[in-house]
Amino acid sequence: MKLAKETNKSEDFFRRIHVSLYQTDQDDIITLANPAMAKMFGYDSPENIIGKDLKDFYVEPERRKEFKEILRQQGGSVIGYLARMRMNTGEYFYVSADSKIIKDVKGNEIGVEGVLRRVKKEDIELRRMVDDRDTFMMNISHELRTPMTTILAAAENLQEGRTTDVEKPKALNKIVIELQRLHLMTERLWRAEMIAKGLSVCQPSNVDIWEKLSSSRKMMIPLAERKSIKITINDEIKKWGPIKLDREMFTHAILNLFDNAIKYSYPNTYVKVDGNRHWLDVVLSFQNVGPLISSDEHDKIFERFYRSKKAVAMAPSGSGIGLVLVKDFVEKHEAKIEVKSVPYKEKNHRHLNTFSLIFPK
Amino acid sequence: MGQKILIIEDEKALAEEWAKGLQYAGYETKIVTTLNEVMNILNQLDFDLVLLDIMLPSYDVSDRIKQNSIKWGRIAGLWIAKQIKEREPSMPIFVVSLVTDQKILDELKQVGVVKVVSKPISVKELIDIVESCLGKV
Repeated sequence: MKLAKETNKSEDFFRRIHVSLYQTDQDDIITLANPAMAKMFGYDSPENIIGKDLKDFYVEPERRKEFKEILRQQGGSVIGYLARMRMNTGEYFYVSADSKIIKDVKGNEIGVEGVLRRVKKEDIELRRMVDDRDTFMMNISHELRTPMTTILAAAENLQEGRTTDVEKPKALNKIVIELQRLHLMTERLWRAEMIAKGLSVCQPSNVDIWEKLSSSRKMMIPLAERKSIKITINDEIKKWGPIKLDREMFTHAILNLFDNAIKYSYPNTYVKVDGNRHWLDVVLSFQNVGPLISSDEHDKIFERFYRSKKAVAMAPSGSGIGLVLVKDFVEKHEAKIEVKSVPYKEKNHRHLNTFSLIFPK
Repeated sequence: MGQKILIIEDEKALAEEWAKGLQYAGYETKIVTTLNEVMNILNQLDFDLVLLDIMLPSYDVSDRIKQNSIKWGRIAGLWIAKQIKEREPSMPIFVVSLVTDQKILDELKQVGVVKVVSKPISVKELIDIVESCLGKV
């Protein structure tokens, strides 16, 4: 009697509560929903939504698969996952989901249950900004601390007499390389900040492309040597003569293209810079052997702070702002950038990746 | 013969400096810089301590491992720590990391990692921690 009373109370609570509660089976079919859940998607009663596929309420149905993958990665529960959903009228809205995987007694996944709350688009944008900022701070902290640790260790070994006379030039060279790395990073940060504030100004002057490519290559050789990567530049570019460009923007664009090409290259491969002059424009391409850059990422990689999982696995350090500088160069020079990623020599995980800068002569 | 330290660190320039300091303090060292090298050494863990950077790139391993390491993101080293402990449960592992995620730090503790410190760290601090992990202080 007491149990029946408690069950009635729970059912009553489930019916009255204003937040949307749901349960699905492992194929995403809704098996349980309260009236708030039905109303959220434009239905009169839970009976009308039960039996439907929750994926169909996502604006991008593939996000459901991604969501479940995140659930598994995070140990079976997620709080505050944001998704764009649609009502039965087609109207879009945003939800924040707190969900968990349901398992049977043997530990097999049998479905997902959780709570959905409607959130404003502005709240999502704000949250993304905060998340981006957090990710960026973590990335940049890693990227700055590693060279700092190397400088500290090399300097301390020199100071404490642990470095022999024979080893001294190598140790000093390490310090110089790591300081250059830090200099590049801080410069990149400063420029990215200027771009974000709309203060990046283009001041064209005559730029010797060959000279800029050669000096950038020289700067990048020590980093490339660590992975036994050879950098070559097509000699034909020597004949180009000066081209009107913003010197600083161009320098940072190519330094970042070199840096990325090295960072995302397999060891013992190469980075090749090629050039072609056409009637009205020139094409400068940076080619390396790296992981696949899938076509849906060709735009995303130019977004501030974006780093794909593959990129993180390949190179844990990275701020996700290098290509923002390349994009800024492209936008300020009425230029274009094209990305190509094609399989390399039957090694299915290796791809020939080419970033081509196309700008007016 | 000094005790042997295995240094797993993808930044070779840094690993060499740490090795130099540890050798000066009387230890023998071996450096491995890639996940593939780690895989090759897992069955010959003839060391007294492992110094591990848990953020290792995974460009040189099989597709199966690569798929996992994409899931791990930056924490391939957590998997390495587990593999080492499965083979040599008493092996002290000292992690130098930039990870601040409490969940990962808790997992490292669960695996049996004896110490986790953040970069930057001086060579002197590194030697002190190694000695303390080996029960010398």
